[in-house]
Amino acid sequence: METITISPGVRLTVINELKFKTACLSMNVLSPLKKETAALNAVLPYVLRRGTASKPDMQTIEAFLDDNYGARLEAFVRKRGEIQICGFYSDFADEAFLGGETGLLERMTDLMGEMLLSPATFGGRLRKEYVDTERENLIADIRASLNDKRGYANLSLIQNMFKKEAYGVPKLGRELEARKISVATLTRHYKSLIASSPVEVIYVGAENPRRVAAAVKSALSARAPVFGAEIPQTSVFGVSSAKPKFIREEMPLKQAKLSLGYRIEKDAVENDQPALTVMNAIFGGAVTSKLFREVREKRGLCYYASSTVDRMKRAMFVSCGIDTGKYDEAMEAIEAELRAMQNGEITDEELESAKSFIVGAMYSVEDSLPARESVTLNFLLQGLDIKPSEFGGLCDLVTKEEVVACARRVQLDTVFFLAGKGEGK
Amino acid sequence: MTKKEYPRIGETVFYETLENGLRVAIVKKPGFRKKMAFLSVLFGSADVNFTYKGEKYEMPAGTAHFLEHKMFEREGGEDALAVLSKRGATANAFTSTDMTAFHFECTKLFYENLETLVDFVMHPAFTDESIEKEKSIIAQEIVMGEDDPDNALYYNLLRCLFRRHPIRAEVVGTVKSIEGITAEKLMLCHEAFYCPGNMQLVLCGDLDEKETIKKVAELITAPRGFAPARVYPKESEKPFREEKNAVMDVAAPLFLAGAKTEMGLRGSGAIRHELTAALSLSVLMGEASPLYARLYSEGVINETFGYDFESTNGVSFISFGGETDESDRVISDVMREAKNLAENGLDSAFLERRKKSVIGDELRGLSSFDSICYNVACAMSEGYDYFDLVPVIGSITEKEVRNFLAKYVTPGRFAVSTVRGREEKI
Repeated sequence: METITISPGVRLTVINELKFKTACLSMNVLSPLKKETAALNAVLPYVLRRGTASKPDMQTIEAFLDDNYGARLEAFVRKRGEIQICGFYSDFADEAFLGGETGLLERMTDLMGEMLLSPATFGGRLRKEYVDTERENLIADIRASLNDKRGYANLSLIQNMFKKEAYGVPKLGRELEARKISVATLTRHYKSLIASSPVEVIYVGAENPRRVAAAVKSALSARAPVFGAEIPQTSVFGVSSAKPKFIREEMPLKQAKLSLGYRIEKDAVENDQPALTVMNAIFGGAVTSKLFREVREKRGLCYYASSTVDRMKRAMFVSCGIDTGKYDEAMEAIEAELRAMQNGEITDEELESAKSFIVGAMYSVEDSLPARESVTLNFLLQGLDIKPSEFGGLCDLVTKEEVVACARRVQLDTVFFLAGKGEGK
Repeated sequence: MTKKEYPRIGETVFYETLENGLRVAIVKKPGFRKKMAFLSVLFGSADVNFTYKGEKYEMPAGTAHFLEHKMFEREGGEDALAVLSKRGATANAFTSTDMTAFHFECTKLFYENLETLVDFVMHPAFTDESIEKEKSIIAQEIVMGEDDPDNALYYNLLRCLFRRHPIRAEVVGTVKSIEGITAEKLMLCHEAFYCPGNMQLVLCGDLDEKETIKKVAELITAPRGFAPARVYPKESEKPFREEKNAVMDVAAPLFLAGAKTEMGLRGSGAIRHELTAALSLSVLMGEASPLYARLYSEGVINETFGYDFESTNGVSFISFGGETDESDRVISDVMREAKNLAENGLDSAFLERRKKSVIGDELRGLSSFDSICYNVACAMSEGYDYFDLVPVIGSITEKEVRNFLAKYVTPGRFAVSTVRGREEKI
C-alpha cells in the first residue's frame, strides 16, 4: 500500500495486486454530513455522470465505456460516520488480458477527472434537464426506502436516535431538501464543494503506483489546490443517564421489524477498535453469534437477527424480523444476551469463533476488488494505516477481558418497532 | 482428469468425473488466499412431481428449499453452519428452481471444511421434532417474502407466462404447503436426488489439482444413484394470462413485462440462445441504447429499469421492468423499437461495442469466486463450457440479433405484472 499526495487536497492510495483481471479506481469527495447539504451532495455525482464537456450525454459516455471493454463507471454517495462522500467508482479490464490494448487506465482516469471538474453545462451552469431528472430520481430513491421494510426500520431508528447529531441525517438527505434542488443551488454547491473538499483517490490493481499517480495528476490538473483540507470529524457523545427512547410505528405488514440502537462509550486510554469488532461478532455480527444462535436458532423468535457496529460513531445496531406479538419476548431475549456478555458469560468457543470469523473475513476482503476499495477508504477515514488482514491479526489478539470491558461501555439508547397493523399488542 | 487452458482470459481448469458419476471442476486461482467449494444437487423447487423406483410422487411446494435448510443439522442437533463458522469459514446455501447448492469459502483449513460440507450434505440427521421447529423459521422467511414487492412482481409475471409449469410456485413454498412436509418425504427426496450421479462439485482457489481430486474421491464414496428424470408440463408460446396487478406498500408503481423464448435447449444451443438474448436486449434497451437514453432523459424510467434473460427447467424467458408511472408507454416503446431494429437493421459499430462490453463483463466475473462457481455449475448442468463464452459472444451475428428481436419481442408474446401503492389514485 502506498499513499501519495498528488496536489494539496488530493491524495492517492495505491494497492498493488496482480491477481485480479480487472482494476478499480475511485474518486471520493469528502464533506461533513449536514442536513442542509446532504441532498445536494447525494444528487451531484448523478448529475455529473450524465455528461461532461467532451462527452455531453449518456450515449456518448456509454459508447466510450463499451469501447473500453465494458469499463464501468458509477456515481455514488456514501456515508461513513458523519462524513458524506460523493464521487465515482470505476472498474475496467486489466490490459494483460486485452491482447495488446494499452492506455485503459489513463482513459478511465481522464474520464473520471473530467466528470468531476468539467461537467456538461449550459450558460456556465449545470444542465437543467440533468438536474431535473436526477432530482426526481433522488426523490424516488428516498421514497423507495419504504419498499424495503428492514432498511426502513433501521433508517428510522438512526433518524430518531441521532435527531440532534449529523449522524441522524440519511445518506441521501431528506425529501424536503431534495425538492429545493435547482440548477442555481446545485451549481453553487458544486463549485464550493470542489473548491474546498479533500479528495481521496483509491486504486486497486496491477499497475505500478508511478503510472497511476501520473494518470491521476494529469486527470485532476484542472483543479486549483485546496490548502488545509482535512478529513471531516465524526463527533462521539458518550452514553447518557437518560432512559432509552421507544418508538412504535404501524404498517400493514406480515412480519414486524425491530431495530435497536446502542451507544458505546470511548475507552479513555486504549484504542479499542479491535475489541469492538470482536464484541460485535460475538453479539450479533457472525453466524456463531449469541443473537443468531440463542434468539434465532434456539428460541425461534425471529427469522433474522444480527448486529452491526459503526466504529467511527461508536454505535451498535441490532436488526431483526419478528411476529408483532413477540415484541416483549424478543426485546427481553436481546437484552439478556447483552447482559450475559457484560457479565463475562462468553465461552472460549464463542470468542475463538468470532475471531476466526473476523480473520477469515479480513483475508477475503483482500481477495475481492470492490471490498478492498471500500475497506481501504474506511481505514483511511479511521486513521488506520494497515492492511485488512493486519487488522484481522489485531482482532485475533483481543482477550475475553477486553471484550467484556467493551461490552460494559454499551448502553441501549433507542428502540424502533415497525409493527404489523392490527396484530399483537 | 482433463486440463483445459484458456490463455485469452488467463484461466486453467481441471475437469474430472469420478467413478460414481460426480462431476468435479477445479478452477485454479494462483495468488488468492481464499478458496471456495460449491456442491450442487440437481434438485430444485420445480422438481415436485417425479417418478422414483417405479413410484410416482408429488411433493409439497417448497420441499427442496426445506430440505436444504434441514441438511445443516448434524447428529445430536449440531449445526454444520456453526462448525464451519467456528473455523472461520463463511458458508451458505440456496435453492433455485432447478438446483440446491451448498457452498463455503475460507482462507484456512480448506480440506477439513470440505469434509464437513460433504458430510452434512450426504448424511441427513434431521428428526420429526426438528422439522416441526423448522416450519416456524421457514414460515417467517415466507411471510417476509410476502411483504416484498419485487417478489410479488416476479412471481405474478411467472403466473401469467406459465399455465402449469412448477416454476410458477415460489421456491420457498407457502405457509400452508410446507405444513405437508414430513421427515419421510425429505428422506425420500434426499435418497432420490442427493446422489453423486446427480451432483456437481466446483472448487476454486490456489489448489493442487491432484491432491484435491484424491481427497474428493476419498470423501464422496456413495454409489451413483438413480436420480429421477426431469419432466415438466408443455407450455405454449403465448402467455397463459395477459396481466396481473397487485397493490402493496410501494413508493412508486413497478412493472415487469416478460415473454417466453426457446424451450428445451441444452448444450451449445442453450448458451448461444442465452448470449444472443443478452446481446439483443442490451442493444434494444441497455443503458447504452438510444431507447434507454430517450426514456431516461424524459424521466419515464429511472436507474431501476433493467432487463433479464432466464433459462431454467426446460423453459426460457425474457423480462424487463422497473419503476415508472407509464408502464404502458415503456412497453409499447420497447415493442416499437424492437420492430424497428429487426426490420431496419442495427448500427454495426454499436453492436461491436456492445460485444466488447460483454467481454469486459465476463473478465470482471472471473475475479469473483461466487460468480465463477455458480456459473461453472450451471454450465456443467446445461452441458456447455463456461470459459468458452468470449469466442461465442464474438461470433454472434447481426442477423441473429435481428431474428431474436423479431421473433420474441412482439406484443402477442408478452404478459405484464404490476405493483402499485395503496393510496395512489387510479
